Amino acid sequence: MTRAPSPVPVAESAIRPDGDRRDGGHLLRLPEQPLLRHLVLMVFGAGLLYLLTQSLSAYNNFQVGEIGAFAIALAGLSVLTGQNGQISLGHGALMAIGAYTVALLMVHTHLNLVVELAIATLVTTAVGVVVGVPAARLGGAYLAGVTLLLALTVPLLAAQYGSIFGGEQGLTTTPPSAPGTINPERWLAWIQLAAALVVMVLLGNLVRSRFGRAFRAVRDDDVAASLAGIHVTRTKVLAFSVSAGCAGLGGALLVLSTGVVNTGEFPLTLSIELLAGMVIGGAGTLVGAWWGAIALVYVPQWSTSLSSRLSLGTTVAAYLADALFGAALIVVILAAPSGIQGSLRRLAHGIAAATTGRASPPNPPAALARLLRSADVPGGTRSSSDASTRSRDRSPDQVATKE
Amino acid sequence: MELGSGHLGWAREVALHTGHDGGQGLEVHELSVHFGGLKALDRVSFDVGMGEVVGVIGPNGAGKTTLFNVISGFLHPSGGVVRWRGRDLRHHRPHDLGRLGIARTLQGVGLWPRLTVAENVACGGEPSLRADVVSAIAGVWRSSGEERRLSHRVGQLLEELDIAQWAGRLPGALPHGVQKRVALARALMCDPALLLLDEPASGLSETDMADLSARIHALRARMSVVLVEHHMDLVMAICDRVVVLDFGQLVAAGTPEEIRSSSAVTTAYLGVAVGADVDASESDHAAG
Repeated sequence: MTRAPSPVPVAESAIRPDGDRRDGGHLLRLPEQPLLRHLVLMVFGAGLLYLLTQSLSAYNNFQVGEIGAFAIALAGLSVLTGQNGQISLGHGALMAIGAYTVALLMVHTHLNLVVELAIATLVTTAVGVVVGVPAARLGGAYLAGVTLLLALTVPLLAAQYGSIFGGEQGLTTTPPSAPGTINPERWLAWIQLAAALVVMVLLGNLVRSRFGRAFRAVRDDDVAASLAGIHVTRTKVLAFSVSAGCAGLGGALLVLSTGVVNTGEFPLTLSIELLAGMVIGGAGTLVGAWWGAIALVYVPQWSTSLSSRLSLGTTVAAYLADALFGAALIVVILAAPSGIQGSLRRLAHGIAAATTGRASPPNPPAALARLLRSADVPGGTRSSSDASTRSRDRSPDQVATKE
Repeated sequence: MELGSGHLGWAREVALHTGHDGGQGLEVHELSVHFGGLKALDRVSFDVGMGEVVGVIGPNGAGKTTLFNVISGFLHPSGGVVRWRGRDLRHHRPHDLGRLGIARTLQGVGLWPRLTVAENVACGGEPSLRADVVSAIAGVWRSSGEERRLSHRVGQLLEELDIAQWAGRLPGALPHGVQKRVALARALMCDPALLLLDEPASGLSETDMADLSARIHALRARMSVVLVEHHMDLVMAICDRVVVLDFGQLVAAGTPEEIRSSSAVTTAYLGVAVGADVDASESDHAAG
């Protein structure tokens, strides 16, 4: 294996998804090397978020921090569902596991916060492996069933072992102390957002690696994937455990905002809301996770103020947020299946095409288009219907014989 | 069932006569696969030498795909053994094939609809990749450098198969012939020594078929090829030897000429009454 790469005939980006690639066009040319590319985006995002947190009030900073925590959990879920095609109904419970882990560490030890967060992530990742292995071996929709079971049992276990987990009162956590004169809410938001940005970079790297490609291959056709040399079970378990680790870190960071973790904090409905938020933001995209996180933080708040303005009963008010999520989910699935992020991307391409006056198909990506400018690339635009118009042309007997 | 068992004794003899010394290639020995009472494969034996092109033909339900499924590890045999380069393939799984030097294409195209052509082909290089999860998440050279080399290889192969201009496109919208070539490129990514082609010519135009024929002919310098195919003219033109299956049994094996003149084959395919017509049409194809 030579370490000096010869000229690359096909742009390296061609073997990666155009998931949330920002072509940048003539405005901004991002490096092709994934790590560099993601670090540039991270610095850019960090600058924006710094300016945002500086201009916001303490309460709004508190919410922005929560958005960061949810974005981590949603990004993991998005990789699992959007990239690998698996459904988890238990990500709320995985968040709870992360939250309880960090709370227990805070109660019983005096470790550095970063270490505590890392441990919470690792513990949840391990739970992901334990849950993911049998589910992946069974295949099909078993992961949804097993994770639903997780969502139902985690609150019960926490209540059952009240002496450890604090029962209904739960465990209280100490918020990180801000250095100097920094406002504590702003400091907390910085911690949560910094973690979120790091996770985005790492997930971005993963999605653009051989493993991300394997995730998508397994999602689209696991028989073909195994013939290509991809270990289907291992790939599914990897996707789920990475996604679980993200949920755990998200839960651990969220508990820093709420200050308490108890059995009522992570109900089954949270798992469903996470799924809804992920789809609304745009399944499979990391930027979409942020849109979903914004929805997860603000929809309950709006529904509370809406129900008090309409003077609805407390029972109605309690379920209004879920009803809104359900309605939004239906609208998104019918009107914009690729979610907010997918719609924005299409809009951006439309604007780019209109301003440059040329037909600009979203695909092939800019780098590839440059390379192939002499080649005959038909001008037809790629649309999401491409995938759906192609049916699986596998004979039934062959499907029946797959593992 | 009656039809198949009637030819059994004769077929064994043919297999013995044409049997190659395939010590370093693929040996299928007394292979049986039973699904309950159904014998999908019944003591089938043949072998494929290095650099040989062997066609497997037979009517629908003859066991051709079952045979491929056993070789590629989707099914485990009820009896008999598949030997590859002198080694028994007993407990292998499909994802081991690449490391064993075996690649297989699927019926239809079997491409991933939401991966670009380049990504589809890149996945075929999976067996050669060594980057671990941690380096992939960290995005360090171990992973990204490997990806760079992989993309180089993908580019070469796309050029070789004349599909480079489709690299960034989704396969679903492309002409069927291009999709079939993408599927072939994916299979070739692992540099196989044995290539299993499951109906490579299905749905191809005449031009594409001629192109495929030339490509398989060129590939034999690098690998053995086993193809399941219904297009007799293609099979007769490019195969060194042909194996005929019917109702799970090997009813004939031999050179294309021997198979063409075999009454058992025409019987298996079409019954005795119309056998004469088939002979005539096949001679025409052979001439062309």
